[in-house]
Amino acid sequence: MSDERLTWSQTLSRLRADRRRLRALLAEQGGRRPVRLGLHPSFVCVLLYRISNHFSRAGHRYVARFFWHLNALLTGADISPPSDLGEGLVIVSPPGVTISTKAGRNLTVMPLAGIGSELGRRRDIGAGPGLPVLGDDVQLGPLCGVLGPVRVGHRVRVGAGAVVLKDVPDDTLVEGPQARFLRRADPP
Amino acid sequence: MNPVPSDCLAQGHRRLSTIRRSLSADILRFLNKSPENRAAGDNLRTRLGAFLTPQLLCLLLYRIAHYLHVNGWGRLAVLVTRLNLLIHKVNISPQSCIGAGCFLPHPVGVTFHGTAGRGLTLYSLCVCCPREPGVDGPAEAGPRLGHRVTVGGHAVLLGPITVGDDTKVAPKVCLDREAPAAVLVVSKAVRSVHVPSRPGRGSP
Repeated sequence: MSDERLTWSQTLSRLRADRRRLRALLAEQGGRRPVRLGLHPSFVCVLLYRISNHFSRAGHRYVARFFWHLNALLTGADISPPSDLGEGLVIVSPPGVTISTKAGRNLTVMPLAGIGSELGRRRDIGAGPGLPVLGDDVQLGPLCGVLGPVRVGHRVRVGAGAVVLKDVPDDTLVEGPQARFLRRADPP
Repeated sequence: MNPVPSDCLAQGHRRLSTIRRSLSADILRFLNKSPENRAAGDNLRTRLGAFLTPQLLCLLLYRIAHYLHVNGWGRLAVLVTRLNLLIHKVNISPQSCIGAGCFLPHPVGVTFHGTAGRGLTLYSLCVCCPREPGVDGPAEAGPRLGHRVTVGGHAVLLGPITVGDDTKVAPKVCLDREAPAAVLVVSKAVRSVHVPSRPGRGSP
């Protein structure tokens, strides 16, 4: 993960891009416009992560850890402070989301997705020992996982329940396991 | 404001008495879930004890949020939903319409945005949400579940699909197409691979 320091203006610029993208996504759905987008759980989660990331890069590890814990307490999301996530980050439903990676712009994380290392594979490909690297405009489906030192290309969409354990090229759709129907043995 | 579905109005979700009736059915379902609970009997003490569990408190907050949403107090509904998210880490949108007798054995991490009939069971970390990112749009964008549907742990139901009555979705299943009534929805079986132990490393 990048150890390059971020200034407050850079962190705020990333936050503004996150906010713009979340606002655009909410507008697309045609739902009620939130009174204060700053109180939306998706934005609170990203805000606390950005603050913890800022302090982590500035070398204030304990302050970074405080905001990391606050994020887990308030929103239920576990985004490690050194994670380097580009601007335009949207976390749709924060509870249960776990992220420890390096990612490009416009990452979209659906409920309960997990990105991080797995036991045994500790190779460093640029994000830290055993951690994956994601490109721009990646969308992670519900309950999917990107595990270990793998490279996920740009504009990749990982389907619900899919587990990525090897490199994925650009413009790819990774499908999860397909469901099939069985007649119930204990019909009501 | 999102339009309120007609079947939601038909179930009387605009009335305060419906919250009480639905919660009563939820408590009854909780009390009948196991022989131990049934042995405790159905009296005021056991009902109060059941009511104070997270399983039912999160349903109480959802039902209040839904009542507020249906009656046009959308901002208050969102506030109560946020409170539910903060306390129980459950994300059930106020637009969702869930019938009486719902049961959430382990509420943490459950995400629901859609409609469901009576006797719904949602196991831990299951997700029912629209295909596109976001859970703030109308409930019709999410799954439409029939009566007595069970969704297993870590299961995902995506998009505006219909799931028939009495259907069970097994754990870890990703369902993104229509499911008929009274079936068991399963996924690929888990494969186990034998890993020979290396000398000198001991057992894991």
